[in-house]
Amino acid sequence: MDHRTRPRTVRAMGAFVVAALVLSPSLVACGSDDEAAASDSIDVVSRWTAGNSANAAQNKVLQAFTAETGVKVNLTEGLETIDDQVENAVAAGKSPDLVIVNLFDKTLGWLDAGVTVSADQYLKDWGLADKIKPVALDEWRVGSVAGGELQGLPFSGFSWPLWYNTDLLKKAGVDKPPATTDELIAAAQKLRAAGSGPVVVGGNDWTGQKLFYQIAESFTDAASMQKVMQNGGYCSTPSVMEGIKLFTKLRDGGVFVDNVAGLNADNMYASYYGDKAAIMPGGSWAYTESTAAGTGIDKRTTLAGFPIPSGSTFKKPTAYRGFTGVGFMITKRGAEPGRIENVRKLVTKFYADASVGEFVKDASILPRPTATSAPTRPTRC
Amino acid sequence: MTRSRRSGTPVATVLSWLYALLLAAPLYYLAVSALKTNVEIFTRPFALPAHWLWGNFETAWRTADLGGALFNSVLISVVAIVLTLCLAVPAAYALARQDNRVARVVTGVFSAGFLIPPFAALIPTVILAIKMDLFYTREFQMLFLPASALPLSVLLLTQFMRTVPPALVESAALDGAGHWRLLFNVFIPIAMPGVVSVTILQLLTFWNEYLFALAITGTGPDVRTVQVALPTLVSDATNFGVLTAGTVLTLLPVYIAYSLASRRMQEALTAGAVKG
Repeated sequence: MDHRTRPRTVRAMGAFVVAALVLSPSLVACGSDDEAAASDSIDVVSRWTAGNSANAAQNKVLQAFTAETGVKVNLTEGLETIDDQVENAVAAGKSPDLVIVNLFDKTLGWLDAGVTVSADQYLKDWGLADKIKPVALDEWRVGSVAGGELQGLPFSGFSWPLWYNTDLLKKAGVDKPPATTDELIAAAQKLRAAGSGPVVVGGNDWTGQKLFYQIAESFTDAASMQKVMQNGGYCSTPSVMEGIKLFTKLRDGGVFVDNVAGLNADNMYASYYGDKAAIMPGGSWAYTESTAAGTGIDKRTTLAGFPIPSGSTFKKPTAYRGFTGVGFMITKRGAEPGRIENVRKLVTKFYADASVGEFVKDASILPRPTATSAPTRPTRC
Repeated sequence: MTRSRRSGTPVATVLSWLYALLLAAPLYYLAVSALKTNVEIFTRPFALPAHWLWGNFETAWRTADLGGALFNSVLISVVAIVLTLCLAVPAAYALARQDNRVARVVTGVFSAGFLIPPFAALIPTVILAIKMDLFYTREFQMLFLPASALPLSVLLLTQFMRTVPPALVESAALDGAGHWRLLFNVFIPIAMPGVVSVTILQLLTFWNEYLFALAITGTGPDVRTVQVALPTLVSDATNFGVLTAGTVLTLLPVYIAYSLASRRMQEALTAGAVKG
């Protein structure tokens, strides 16, 4: 999943390119001479790039697929601008057959724009309905509601708990992860007294944004929060304002490390992995990297939810959970008669138990409901 | 005079060293980061690595397939620079030998090329690539880069060629030298520092080009340049040691090329000052 905010100019570039090409229908049409009957290859764009922990598992699936079917996979790595890359390719008449991508930003509009096709029928025909959780499917439907058109086939999700460094907590005299915000403030003061940083987060990027939302939602039910996020009105909604005031209370109570506003996600990981801070909000996508960091942090970490305040909507500490991590979006070209069979074989190969096992082992990309003591809840931040 | 020279020398030396350190600091940071873990990079950014992770270079080379990407970058840059010089040198020669309104208009047209920001040219260039059926190919980049480099190249070379003494040109012409002989035997040797300057400047530009390489050439492993291959090392939890190791590997060819031609470059840059 890509939670980073890309430069506005890059987004503008993509928008302009697509707009210009849409206004040039003759150009778009000129690329539609693909060999529909050719089924000895499949073109895939994937966001599991070389630097991604899921890349090795993906390559194993692709190699096994080619060995079994004889179909060559032309894999293109999608960078941060994967949505722009795919849209450019479609406009140039060089559309891939399958896009392995997360559901966010521009990809949310691909079905409506005709870049991809509905996956409802494939879900049934390919026997995948029993393999995917209904809640995950709903998150991939238009409007994220049951009954909406299925935009793609979800494959990975995430949980987003709070990580606690048990050694630092113990050294500071904190016996267990705090369950309430008052306990959190008290724990932060003890940690500071012991020379450890309390909660570290990327104060100027997506990690800080998500944590802010999580705290701001403390007194609000899901339906009200969705309404506020869709229509605005944060300050005019008392329960949300109460959550925002809680955030400032935590800030003034020294819960966050010093100068947190200037930090980003990389600073957060380094600070937590290096025992400089005792607590961080980290997604399940970081499990593998935490082990690879080589500091042994995974051995002295326990996962839990974010503490709740008195009077909260929630009864237990909270953690985000979502299924919009990475999934399969089938393009119009991929749905053509001469190509869809290859797409079917490849997609179902990914859902085979052995393949899923590789992804869980290599990249820990699936939600781990047993890994956190806190209840999880879906979010649409 | 002597006193001021004596007192100024140590100050100049210190300032020179400070300036050199200022330039060397980011290079040092890049080099040591390439041998560290993420934790070390962020917690002890300027310290030497606790453990020297030479394996980062191998990891970067393998995972981003830098070998193929370096080959593509070299191929595109070399072809593009050859095309650039083949077009710019004769054009500069023609402009340098003409001093009339037409030549000034043509020079003005080349100068106008500076007014077009690359970003503004992106959309028409993408459409052009599609029209030519060269989208997702290296060939388009080989053709496009010289076109984008021509304004600066022609103007620089024209200025260098205007320094050729008219008497020398006239005597060569009297001896029966035609345009090609004049160009190759008189103008190019005298303007060689300028040719080297243009070559180095444009090679650096071609090597570092990212926007068009990403949007038009694409990220396919068989065609992508090294600047497009490097970001494949970026993920939700990037290993910055590996990423900086990859960056170092992509910088090495540039540094080697520059060190080989730096003397000529310096001569070229100081030639005008001496004549002035």
